[in-house]
Amino acid sequence: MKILSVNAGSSTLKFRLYEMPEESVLMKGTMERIGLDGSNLSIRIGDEKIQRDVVLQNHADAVNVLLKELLDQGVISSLEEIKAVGHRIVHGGNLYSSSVVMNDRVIHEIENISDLAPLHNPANLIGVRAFTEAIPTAVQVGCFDTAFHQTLKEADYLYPIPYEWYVKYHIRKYGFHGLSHKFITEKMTTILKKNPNLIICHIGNGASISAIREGKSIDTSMGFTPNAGIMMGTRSGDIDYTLISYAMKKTGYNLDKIDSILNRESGLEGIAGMSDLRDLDRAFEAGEEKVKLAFDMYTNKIVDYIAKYFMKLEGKVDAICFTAGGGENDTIIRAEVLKKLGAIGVMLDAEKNDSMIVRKGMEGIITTDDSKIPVYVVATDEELMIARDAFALLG
Amino acid sequence: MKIMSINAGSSSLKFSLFEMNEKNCIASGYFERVGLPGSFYTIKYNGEKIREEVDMPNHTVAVEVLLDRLISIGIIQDLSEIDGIGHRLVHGGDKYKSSVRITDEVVEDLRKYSELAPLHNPANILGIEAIQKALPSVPMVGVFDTAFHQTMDPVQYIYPVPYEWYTKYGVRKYGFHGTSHCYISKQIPRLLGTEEYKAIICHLGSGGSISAVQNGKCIDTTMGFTPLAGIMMGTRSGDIDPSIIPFMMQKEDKTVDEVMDDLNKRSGFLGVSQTASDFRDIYVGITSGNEQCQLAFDKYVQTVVNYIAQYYVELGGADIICFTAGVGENASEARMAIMEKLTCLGVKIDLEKNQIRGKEVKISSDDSNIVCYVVPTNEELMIAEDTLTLIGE
Repeated sequence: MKILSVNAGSSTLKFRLYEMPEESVLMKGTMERIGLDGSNLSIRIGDEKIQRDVVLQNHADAVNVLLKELLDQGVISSLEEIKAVGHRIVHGGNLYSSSVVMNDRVIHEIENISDLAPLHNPANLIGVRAFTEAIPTAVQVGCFDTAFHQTLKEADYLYPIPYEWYVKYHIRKYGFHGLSHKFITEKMTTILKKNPNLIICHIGNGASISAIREGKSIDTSMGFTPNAGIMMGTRSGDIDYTLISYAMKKTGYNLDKIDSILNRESGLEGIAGMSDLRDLDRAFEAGEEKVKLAFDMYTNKIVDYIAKYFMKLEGKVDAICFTAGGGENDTIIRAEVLKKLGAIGVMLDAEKNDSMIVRKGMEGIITTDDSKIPVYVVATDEELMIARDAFALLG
Repeated sequence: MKIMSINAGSSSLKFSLFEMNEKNCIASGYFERVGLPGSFYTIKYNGEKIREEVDMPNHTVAVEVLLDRLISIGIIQDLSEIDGIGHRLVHGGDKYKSSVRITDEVVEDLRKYSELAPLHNPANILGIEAIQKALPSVPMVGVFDTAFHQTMDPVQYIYPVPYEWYTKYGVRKYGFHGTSHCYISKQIPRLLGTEEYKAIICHLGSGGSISAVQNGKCIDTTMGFTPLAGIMMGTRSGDIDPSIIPFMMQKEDKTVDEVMDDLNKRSGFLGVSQTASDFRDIYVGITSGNEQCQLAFDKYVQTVVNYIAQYYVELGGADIICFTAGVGENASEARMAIMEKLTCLGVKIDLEKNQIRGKEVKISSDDSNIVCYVVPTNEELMIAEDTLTLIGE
């Protein structure tokens, strides 16, 4: 059975076609600059790579081009073969605690909470509509970034702010990267053969950490929005928020500009002047002072959250996991984090850490045998998580 | 040798007069509604409390009244008995790393740092000027709330925001309650019998902050650029997702200052419980089954535990955890809830000792991995001691 996994952004469309339940990828690709000049398409089928400029005026265009490509390349012989399309949807508010079959009511509800994710939800829905029209026989499934964290308790998701802000405007911690945290949780459940207690560090350009108790998320570092928690590539994460009004007065910028700076020009970028971890690694090894400071801050924030969640899990942590681009591949960040976890008995195995690089096909433990908590490097796969959820919902 | 400590707020003035030979507070008082209608003072002396309504249109008059009453009540015979004055000063920026003799330059700097503490520094200056007018020959010392935390490393005090906000505008973590954290950290060698220690000090009052201290030096603290950061407090939120601010501005068509005001005065215990900002009221609410109060309590405990966990790892372990200030010294229920969540670090509570309120007492059992103490804070004495040291130099 073929299932398409889709992630629609405001001007992009990423997709993977899976054969389920085998979970083999038949084709994957990206369309970029949809609705803009210079729109293009990039597809991989096995080892074959197709790249070309193509006019994509809107998402419907993109979907049609994609489906035509699937047929032309012989990946499918008719659209009816695609039994389901799974869509990544950023925000499910407190309405959805798992993936769901999309219908008019669901679409309407997601529209209603769009002010919680004004950049993402509308774009995600454009994708849903375009595929509904193009493949009316396929079941459309919505997979939310927030759903996995809906198991948080009230005392953990509420902020110490006027309670009516929660009641009236739904201001609470939602958490994000849920598909990744869920994928890693399921993977670790298989590896450890139990419903595990985990601390999962999803370290990408955006980054979040979550505490998992017996397979369920009990806390996570992102909050009401994705600009909370640990320091990220270009986002500040947690700060003393009063510096927002102070910076507004000092710089003369309006709030939107400051908010944009906190999202796009802060984090590693703000301190080191660069946000790509590979660039940073090189500069770190060359001993650049600002980069050393940025890394020290960055790893401290990760350590802070691991410490909090260690305590929240009453010290009963079956594994700490590193995943996503940085977590899977950045040996320096991992080593620096682990060196700071001595107080809770985590012992780095430097050699194993250096060899565990997902990009080079390596996953596994990076701590010594006597480490009180094993630390794993594990590859995440949000697209596959979407395909699995869609497959499961087909019954 | 008598030293007076002064804490001047925008419409108030607190004082404590110490006989330094015995480190004994001989009198203290609170002048309220200074500059407002209905101004009055209360002075505690010899176990008695004196209250009088006096018109005090400004801090200068308040100081005149104070000095006059010190003599008329018989607390001192002559103003010349006051050997030094110590002022509690809120913000010393990153310049003042310890207490200092007050000079014109210090007052100028206080003015300069006023934009970092717009409510407090100007009031502190009023206090200095009023005392200077009345007692021009008495040496004055300034004790900063921020000074104790100046030993933090850049990695702790720099925010992950554009670096030039630090270099241009001084945006960094400063930390507050320094006088209290300093006072407690000075008691620890006596409690542990060693100068070498790793401590987590929980100053839990209406405002609250926690600091990580190693061998007397502050390593990290929860309050930040302003006193709104860190743990949940009586009416302040502490750390939240900063994006809530623009969202709320849009939702309620408020200015950034109005939302800040909500986060400063209508959040924390008050925000979550929707009834009270005072811990005692929250606890009364809990015992009568108020769920919002229970929620506020749980949230509070969690934010405190989060930072203790963080500092435990940051310090590479901890020898002692100290509780101080209003809630820390008196709320045995809060201490118990906090310590229970620290079980995995080997913290064990002595339930009986924990019932003692407001006194220095060890509240962990003898087999606890980390020693836990209640240590009443005494910022006024700390100020007087620093003053004594500096006027002697």
